[in-house]
Amino acid sequence: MSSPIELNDGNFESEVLKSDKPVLVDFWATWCGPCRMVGPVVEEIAKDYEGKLKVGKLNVDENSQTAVQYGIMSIPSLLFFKGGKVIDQIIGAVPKQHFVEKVDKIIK
Amino acid sequence: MARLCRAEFGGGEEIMTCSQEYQNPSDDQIKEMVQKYKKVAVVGLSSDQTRPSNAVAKYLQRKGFKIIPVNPNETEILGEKAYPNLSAIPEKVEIVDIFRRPEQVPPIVDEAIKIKALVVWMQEGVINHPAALKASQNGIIVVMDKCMLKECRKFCD
Repeated sequence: MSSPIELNDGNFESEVLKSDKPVLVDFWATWCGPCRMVGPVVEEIAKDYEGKLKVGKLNVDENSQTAVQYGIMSIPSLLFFKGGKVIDQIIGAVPKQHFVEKVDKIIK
Repeated sequence: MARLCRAEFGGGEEIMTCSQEYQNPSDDQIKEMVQKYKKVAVVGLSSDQTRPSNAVAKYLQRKGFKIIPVNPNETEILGEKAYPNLSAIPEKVEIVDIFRRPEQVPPIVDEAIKIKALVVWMQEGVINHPAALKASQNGIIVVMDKCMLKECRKFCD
């Protein structure tokens, strides 16, 4: 069983940018209701795609450097990284199916 | 800083998002800063007299501000030596006035933090909430989406 890893300004490069697998990063904050709605979906994605996709969560209040760097204006923002670059994104609390469609395309 | 959550409709679905928005200082605080701080680095200052940056800087000069042009393509603007970036300025900068597109603001804010500027001023239409929040978290006063000329007209005298 794989659950999302905790990301921060310090480990973002090693865990995300240098990851050998694609990575889904959930930019969130504790006060954000829609982030709490999408949280369980992100956890399910982590389990469903274990071994194929790395999934991490980054608290934007505690890690503003990374959030600013990626121009995160609204949360939840879910960025897909591959080879150190952003290749796709989801903004807002959307149904699981949206994630599945994007992830299937990315890991193909 | 304000935390706002809203629902938007996209593709037939309601999508909820939240954002943190920077909020400008009060008019009283803006008045105090334009009266107190007089050394202004103008990032993106153009030598073209038809450009807003040139008109604003010229006006500020007339009002007694020391203008420090920041533009890598120029050597001198409005009679002042131009510098390629904020870090190259050898003197203390009080206000960093930004005439650049919103997406170009974050590295300028990083430099403003590094040189310990006191105020970051983002001109009308220059809106970047995350960068404004970062600057203010680093002890810099931020004015966003306001024209320094217009504010000076109200408060400089």
